Amino acid sequence: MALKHVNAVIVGAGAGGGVVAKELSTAGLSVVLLERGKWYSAADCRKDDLYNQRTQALGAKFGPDDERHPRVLVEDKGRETVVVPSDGGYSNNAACVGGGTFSYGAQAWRYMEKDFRMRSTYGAVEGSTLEDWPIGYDDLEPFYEKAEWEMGVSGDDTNNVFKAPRRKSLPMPPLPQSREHQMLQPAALRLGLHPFDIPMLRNTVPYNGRRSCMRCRWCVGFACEVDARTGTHNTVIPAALASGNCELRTECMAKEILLDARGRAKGIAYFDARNRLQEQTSDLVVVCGGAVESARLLLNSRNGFHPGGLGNRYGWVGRNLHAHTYPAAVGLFDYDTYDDLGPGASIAICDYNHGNPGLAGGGMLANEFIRLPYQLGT
Amino acid sequence: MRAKPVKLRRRTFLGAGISAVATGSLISCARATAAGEWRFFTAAEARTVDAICEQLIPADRDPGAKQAGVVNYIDIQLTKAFRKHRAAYRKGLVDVDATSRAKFSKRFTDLSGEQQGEVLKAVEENSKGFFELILTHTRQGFYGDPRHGGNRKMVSWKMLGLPYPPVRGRQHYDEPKAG
Repeated sequence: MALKHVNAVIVGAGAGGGVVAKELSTAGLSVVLLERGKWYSAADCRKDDLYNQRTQALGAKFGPDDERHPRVLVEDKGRETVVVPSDGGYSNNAACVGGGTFSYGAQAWRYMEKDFRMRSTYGAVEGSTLEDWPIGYDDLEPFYEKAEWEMGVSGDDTNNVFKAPRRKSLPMPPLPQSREHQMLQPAALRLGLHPFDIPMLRNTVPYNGRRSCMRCRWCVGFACEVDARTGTHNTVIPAALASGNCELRTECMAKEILLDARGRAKGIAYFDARNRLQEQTSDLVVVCGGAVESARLLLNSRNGFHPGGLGNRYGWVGRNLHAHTYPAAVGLFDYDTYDDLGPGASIAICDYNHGNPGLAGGGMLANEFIRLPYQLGT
Repeated sequence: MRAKPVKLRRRTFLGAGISAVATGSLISCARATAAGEWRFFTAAEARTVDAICEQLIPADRDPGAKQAGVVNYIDIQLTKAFRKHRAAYRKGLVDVDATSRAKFSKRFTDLSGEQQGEVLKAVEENSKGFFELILTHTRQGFYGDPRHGGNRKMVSWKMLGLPYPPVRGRQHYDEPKAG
């Protein structure tokens, strides 16, 4: 039996899909939001340092599950192997309502002005496809502000002299300083750097009907037990559902984007929670499946108009993807530095994001998220 | 059947007055094997794994992998999350004993600690995959949550000075007012 036609079907209830679902449904459009994972809650904080989204020694608590979500890994020499989420090489990100925002560390960075103009700033870099964005910081600034105030961001970046100008400060103050913070701040100042409190999607005072962070050890990689950490699962998705115009369907894996005779998107074919193939037609299709799964869905959606997959006329869909680079430095001190206070990461510098001799770009430096016993010991 | 030998050993411990750490590992070792309830390993394999793990995280003034029951963790997980590593363990343990016999004409478990270290150095070079696997699993079993079969009596958490049960929201205790 055919499903009722809707205005929009959105693939993925993560960072992007959740926001789109709320904006469309509160504007009066009928929306179906598809999510391949489950809907977890604050009660799913298991406090298990081997079974969570961070360490994954015994599996990823918030998906994707191994059975239903294999990927094909193509190695350097072209050899193809099937990998499951618990294998290395899968590039696993949580698969659940809220997506990565359900169990992330929740840093809330704005891009800097030069991040939008990398090609203009650094020129053509050999061996790269470096380009400018088609939009600039000024185009996004009002939306950064809207997100920060609607979802709730804490922190204080007034001392970050490198940040792009903001019209409004953050709605919540930072957390009290941890021991690491108290060590790093004067050290950074002594070196002539510009430390500041990281903007975080984490309540430090009651906000939006949710309480404030209680600074426990079970932070990044876990469900927030007191619901103080902010993701799309506890902000925009409930707002979308409350509009009465949005239906959330979990454990639904999109198969392909359905195309009409003119090659235009007309809906989504997906496997539902019981692995039955369903077709949901719609006026709009919004693909928010994350970098890897969105690319796969587009490449799997092909017809005579799109022989190489949808949106892939130039063969670039799914190429040039990489996860965030994450180098670390560790120091040994002759006094205690660990105070067992979450969330850990709190202080950063942006002195080295740009303008590094011989480099295109750079990055921010921050203290690490709180370490679990298993991570402390390794 | 099971409580009796443990009780005896405890008495031995009290009487002998030798290092608490060394005797502690005797107790835990005896308990694990006397029960004879290994899920995946044979009794001989379990003794070898126990000895390898203790070489990787040896007891010093604090307990080591043996006392933390790391072999128990690995054995349990080989029936669950580590199912895919079963063949690697079977083969890896055969290799360890083969290396041991080639070098010292004895089983790994019959070697002195120093000799075991030498064998493991050779294993690290020749079977890097298995060495890294068991090293990773040893760390997990030693430092991870006891609910998975290792870190018996939270020995590593006590060593690190971490409170258990995990304190729920330090701020509520350390500071007069939250947020």
